[in-house]
Amino acid sequence: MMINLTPNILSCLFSVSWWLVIVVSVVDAYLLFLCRDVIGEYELNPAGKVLLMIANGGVWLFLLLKFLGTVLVCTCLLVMYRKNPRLGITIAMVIACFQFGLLIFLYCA
Amino acid sequence: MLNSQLPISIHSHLRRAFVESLFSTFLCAIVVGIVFLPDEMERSRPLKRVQFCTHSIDGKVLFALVASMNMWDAAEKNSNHLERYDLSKKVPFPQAICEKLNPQCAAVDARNGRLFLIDMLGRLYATGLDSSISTHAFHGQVPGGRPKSMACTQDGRKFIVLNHEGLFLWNVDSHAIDSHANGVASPHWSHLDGEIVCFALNPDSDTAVLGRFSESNGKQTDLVEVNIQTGETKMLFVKKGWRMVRLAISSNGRSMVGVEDSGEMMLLQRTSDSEAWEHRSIPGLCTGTSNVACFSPDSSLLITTDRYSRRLVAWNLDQKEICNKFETNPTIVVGCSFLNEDQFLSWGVDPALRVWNLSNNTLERKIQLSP
Repeated sequence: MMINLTPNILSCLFSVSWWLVIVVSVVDAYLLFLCRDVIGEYELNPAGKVLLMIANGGVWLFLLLKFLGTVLVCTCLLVMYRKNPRLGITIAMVIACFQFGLLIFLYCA
Repeated sequence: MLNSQLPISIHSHLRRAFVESLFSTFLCAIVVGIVFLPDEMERSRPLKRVQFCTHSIDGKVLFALVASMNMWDAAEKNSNHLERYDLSKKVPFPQAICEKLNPQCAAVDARNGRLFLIDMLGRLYATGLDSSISTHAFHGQVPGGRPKSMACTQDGRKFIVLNHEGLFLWNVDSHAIDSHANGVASPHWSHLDGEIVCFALNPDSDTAVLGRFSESNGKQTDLVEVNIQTGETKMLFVKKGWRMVRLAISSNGRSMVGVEDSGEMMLLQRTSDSEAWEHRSIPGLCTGTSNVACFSPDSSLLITTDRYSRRLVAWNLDQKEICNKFETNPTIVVGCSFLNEDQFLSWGVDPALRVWNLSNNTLERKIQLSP
């Protein structure tokens, strides 16, 4: 079954998902910065642990890669949306759902 | 013509999308930053926190091993130093000692007025507790360096160092602290067993208990008693399903707690006419992620924290229930130590030491670390 949505609704859905990806990533980065003195003990992400270890426990490398990763993902989403709106929205919404889950986890943990 | 324009079009799309994403992420960082940053400006200075704290035998002088952490400077992050606080003064002013050593662990020999320090390379030093003695002597080197913890026996004649290679015991001359000739160069004995996770010294100064983790028959911790003179071992207790990360023994040698890495705690006790340790169940006995466990000098109380390490909890071991709680918000507690029967110290992730009074359940003093 195909759901027919107007271009305005599609555009709105994409914008909300795209901004959600950025906002959650930025909030996560700030929380990382705020907890920098204890993050070595509480970080659960193995990639994050490796980055902390490389930077001798500092969070600057983690923050830098998080920022670059966010910009890269958002760039890809925009390019995809402009080439193929339906594909772009689908991927953006899936990533936004993951990010929303992360936001809930961050505030509950 | 179409072929030559296509890469330019993709390039232009990419560049536009990249600039939009970059700008939006910056904008979002500024907007979210308005909420977060005012409090953060206060924290932009190098952070300091106490890693270990001990005191003189009369409880009037504190020694704190302070770690300075600066996220923008990795070298600064690992710099540790020792601060001395005279509690007899109304506002104890911190006095830095052994500033150039960068010690990782410390142990006090209160009876002989000495403090043992160990740096990241495993080099052992001793210094005097008296403020007039600022010299330190090099006492040897622990193989492998990177110490995890160290402790000195109550008689001040031996100290133990635990690192990733195993456990090392050193005999020290109880009088010499300022001469290489009277120091020691190598450990008296060692157990090169990387599975030793934690240890605690018995108050009799003759034995210690080791927590040895193994996974050969499923996850378990073996509690092993080691003779300090000879290094011989004797199995005491096996706790299946646990990886014990901390051990503490009461000053009467009759109670011992083990802390699992999840914060679960196990109390073992032995009666005066028995040498065998028996498990005693206390409902709800647990601690937080920093594994705080400290017995009172009369062995009747055990101080732990709640699950979130934000509240200190005093357990009465005779009645097997909580007798006091102390709010430490907003800080997370990482350690505590008794000054005397009525007072105990706690330290956490903020740059302060707190002195609590057990008789009236109040925070008696808050001592700020040096700025």
